[in-house]
Amino acid sequence: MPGILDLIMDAVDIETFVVCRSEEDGRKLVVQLIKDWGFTDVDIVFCQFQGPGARVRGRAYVHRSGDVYGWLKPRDKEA
Amino acid sequence: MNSKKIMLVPLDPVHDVGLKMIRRGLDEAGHETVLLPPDLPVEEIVQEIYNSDANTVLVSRTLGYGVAEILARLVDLLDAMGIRHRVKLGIGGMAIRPELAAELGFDAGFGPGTTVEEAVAFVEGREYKGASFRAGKTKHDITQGHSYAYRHDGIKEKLELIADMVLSWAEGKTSPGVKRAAIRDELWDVQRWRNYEQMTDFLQEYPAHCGELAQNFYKKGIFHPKTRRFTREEAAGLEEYVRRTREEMRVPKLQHSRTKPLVFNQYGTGCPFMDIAHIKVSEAWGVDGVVHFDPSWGARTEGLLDGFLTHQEDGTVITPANLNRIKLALEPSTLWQVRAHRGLNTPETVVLAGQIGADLTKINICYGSLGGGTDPARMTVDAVWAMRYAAKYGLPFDVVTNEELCGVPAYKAFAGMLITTAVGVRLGARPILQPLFCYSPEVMVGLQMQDNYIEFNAAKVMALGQIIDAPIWPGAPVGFLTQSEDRVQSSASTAFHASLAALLGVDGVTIASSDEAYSGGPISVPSKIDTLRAVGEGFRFFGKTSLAPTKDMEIWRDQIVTGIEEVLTKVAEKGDFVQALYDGVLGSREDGAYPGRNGKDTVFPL
Amino acid sequence: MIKAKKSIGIAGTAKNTGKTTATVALLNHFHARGVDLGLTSIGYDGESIDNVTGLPKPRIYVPKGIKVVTAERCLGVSSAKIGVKEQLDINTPLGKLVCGVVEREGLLVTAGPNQSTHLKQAKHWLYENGVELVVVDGALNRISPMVETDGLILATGAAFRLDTSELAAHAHYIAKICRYPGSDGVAEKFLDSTRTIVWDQAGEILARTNQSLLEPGQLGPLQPAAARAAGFYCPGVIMPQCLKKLMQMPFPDSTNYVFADPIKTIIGNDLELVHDFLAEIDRRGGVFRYKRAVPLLAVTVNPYYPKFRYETNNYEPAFVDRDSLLANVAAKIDVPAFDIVAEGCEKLAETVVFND
Repeated sequence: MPGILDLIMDAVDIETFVVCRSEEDGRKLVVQLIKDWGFTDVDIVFCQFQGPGARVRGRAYVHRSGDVYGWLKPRDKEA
Repeated sequence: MNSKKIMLVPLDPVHDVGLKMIRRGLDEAGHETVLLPPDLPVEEIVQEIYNSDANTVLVSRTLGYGVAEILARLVDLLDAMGIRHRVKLGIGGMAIRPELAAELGFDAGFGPGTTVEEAVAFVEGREYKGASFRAGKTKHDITQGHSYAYRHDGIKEKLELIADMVLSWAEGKTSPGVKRAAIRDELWDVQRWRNYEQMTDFLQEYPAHCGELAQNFYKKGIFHPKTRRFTREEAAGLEEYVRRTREEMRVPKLQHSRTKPLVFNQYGTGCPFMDIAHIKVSEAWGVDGVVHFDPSWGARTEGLLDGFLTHQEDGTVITPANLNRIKLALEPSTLWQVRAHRGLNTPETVVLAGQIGADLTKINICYGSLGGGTDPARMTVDAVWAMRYAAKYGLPFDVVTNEELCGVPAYKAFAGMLITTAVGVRLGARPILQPLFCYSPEVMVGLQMQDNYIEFNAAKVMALGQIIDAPIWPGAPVGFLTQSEDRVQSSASTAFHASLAALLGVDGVTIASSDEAYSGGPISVPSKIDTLRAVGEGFRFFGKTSLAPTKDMEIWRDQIVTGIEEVLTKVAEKGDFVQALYDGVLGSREDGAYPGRNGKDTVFPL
Repeated sequence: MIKAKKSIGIAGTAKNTGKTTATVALLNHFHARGVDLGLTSIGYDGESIDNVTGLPKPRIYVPKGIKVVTAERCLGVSSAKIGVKEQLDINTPLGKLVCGVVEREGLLVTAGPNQSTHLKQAKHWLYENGVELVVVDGALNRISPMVETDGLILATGAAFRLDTSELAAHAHYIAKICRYPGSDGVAEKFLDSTRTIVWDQAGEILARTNQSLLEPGQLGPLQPAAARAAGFYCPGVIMPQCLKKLMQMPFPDSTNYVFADPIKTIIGNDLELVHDFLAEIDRRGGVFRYKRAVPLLAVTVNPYYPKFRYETNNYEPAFVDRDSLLANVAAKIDVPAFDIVAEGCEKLAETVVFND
């Protein structure tokens, strides 16, 4: 039976505000955060530094095009 | 139909507005309703039902712990009093699902998002579970109601002249693309292909007219390095997924009180499975039509591949098997556009799209030549044939003006669009005008959008409306170059542009996802939902409001119309449309447009 | 082992009181002993997560060969394979009811008939198809369809009341109310009446009123005849205030009272008052019967309850003291009480078989 992550259609986005010194700093911190959670295919979709930190939209692809998709595997039926 | 007597029971401390809306719907449908005061004790409600001759009872109640027991007790009392079988019992409210309705002993459960129509259907004993919902959305012909009559005599005269010029130039010319299209049209049959019959005649003729990539595929079985075939298990998994999804599918409408514009979004993740997944989600969130994007190398390659192929870059390979899978997964109400417009496979793509059952395609000589990278002569002869096939297969096509993004001013791009349109109309096809709603290089320099994005975009639509009565489908996507990678900013921008399209009364609109501006990876499905939600909200916000013309709109409208006529005059004076393309009359090197080189020297006399 | 075809209802006092656990235990017990079993549910059972609290729930694992009646749309979400034999013309929010046999064992989601008349039809199909014992899984606190069963098992527990003595009192009242027998010839000829009636010694009907007695005013038409009454029959629901009023009316002490079934009073939600009414009839020396008796066979107790956490706005599983809960309830009631999670199902099953 697939795990919950297998059921993510394509990507997980995390949107937050991170207190940091620069846009670059904000990007690095959020990439690191998502990697720490165990994701490997990680990028920043959007980052804007203003005032005390950065508004960041980070993304981890769970399924990229052409992968074998977990959500197509048969699911435990009664779940 | 018999009129029903319905008792509406708000169990919450305040009257539920949903129940009042349902009451209005029921009254309008000719039923008799009684609305009880809110928050009566269960015993009193039962007494009311007992004393009435209601045959349906609709209860509304927000769920929380202990509430289920109250609702169950209501049902129990009705049962014990021997009146449960006499009344149909429905429950609505937040968190109500059919499973919970079953547990509570009701006949139906209505959760958030239930339409008044659904509730009326339940009362009237028609099929429950959203069947009417699906049937409520039907496929629209985007060209309906347009006569293609010219409204501007000077421009009409020049377009007629140039159309003659284009058709006589193309007369007696052919290309590998035109030959493949003819082979596909004559020797390849979708019914036989679907029955796994051998296409021997087709396979004997076809590869000879292909480039190396497709020849390698047909003769040696070599795939494009970035494609792979799906496994049988993957295909079975997809079929099951689509079947399950369709079972539960409800297709909402985004336009609120309007019928137009139809909302399209684009797919082309590289993988037809992921595309289908994206399409099903888009349909479930209200999209009216979807646009197939093929990879950029598809436009530079002579010949189409076959097989059920995935590809790991942006754009999904056009093959009969891929298109067929996608076609079979679509909801009956969804419009499907397969773009043919810009490359070496233009006419053949139209044939294939027509055979597989697409609803729309995309063809433009000028964009294909000046922004799409295809040699103008080749593009012209191929596009003329593509339009013939579009007429034959009944596929309306949009005429995109993306050369604006290179820096070609709108009036020049529009002149080119109108030429393709005039040729298309002459060939019996149904073209659709596709002006861009974009923050183009022209306005960045000219400052027409320094204050707002409304007036210049409106002027474009108004100008086209003064020239011809043709369908207009701004794109593609609307808001091009106004959107950033920020989810909220890009969703808002998309919603505003789509709403502007609605206020201008156009027929269709193509929208971006909220991550369209991000180039680091494929578009994600939640980002598609973002903009569909935003656009729906925009349509809801503006309703049927109209937009009053401003002075600037009128000035720019007139400038565009004048500009178009001047460009057409120059093309007519040149006496050679293809040469006019090479010479930059419809978009010059200074503008940022370069005549394409793909397929150079591949036009031959018949 | 089962002498005649029989149906057992598992009624709960609330959600999460152990209906499904008792159902599953009984199914396993009797299946192992070769009894031909039927299963249906008046609610929606077998889902993994509670519809309200979001907490995990016990699942229903059904062995091969048992016969079930459930809604169509439950089949697709069950891992057990059901060979459908017949579709009943009964609609539910999850599709029409279908009858079938478990062909491959597995987890079953059931949503069966949710009103009495429909349960009757489902039971009929099961009996026609060889079933000896029908187990009817209850829903929430729903009890009225259980009229169609031959006996009840009451599942109660901390999810209903945290106060153990209150909980025991509730079970005690139900046991008392269900203890009265069927009419057995008493007043037989009056029991087809669809209205509430009062008759005299000569068998003459003196007065009539509504089928169900929901408010005291509805007893008005009986008032003039009460003093001459020999018998009283109510075919519908009787609310507590009406019982109170009945006690105050000048009915002779020896009056025979017949109510439709115990559920028609339990449903009024004031069990203490019903209990007092019955005790009063007994004290006066009157006779009390049901047109259809539904005996309470046993009570199961469950220490589990979903505890709401305000900090996080969700529920977490919690338990009251298992032993004192059982001891308290057992001391209070005159039918057997069990904690089947702690002591197994053997003795509970015996009450089903030997209480004929």
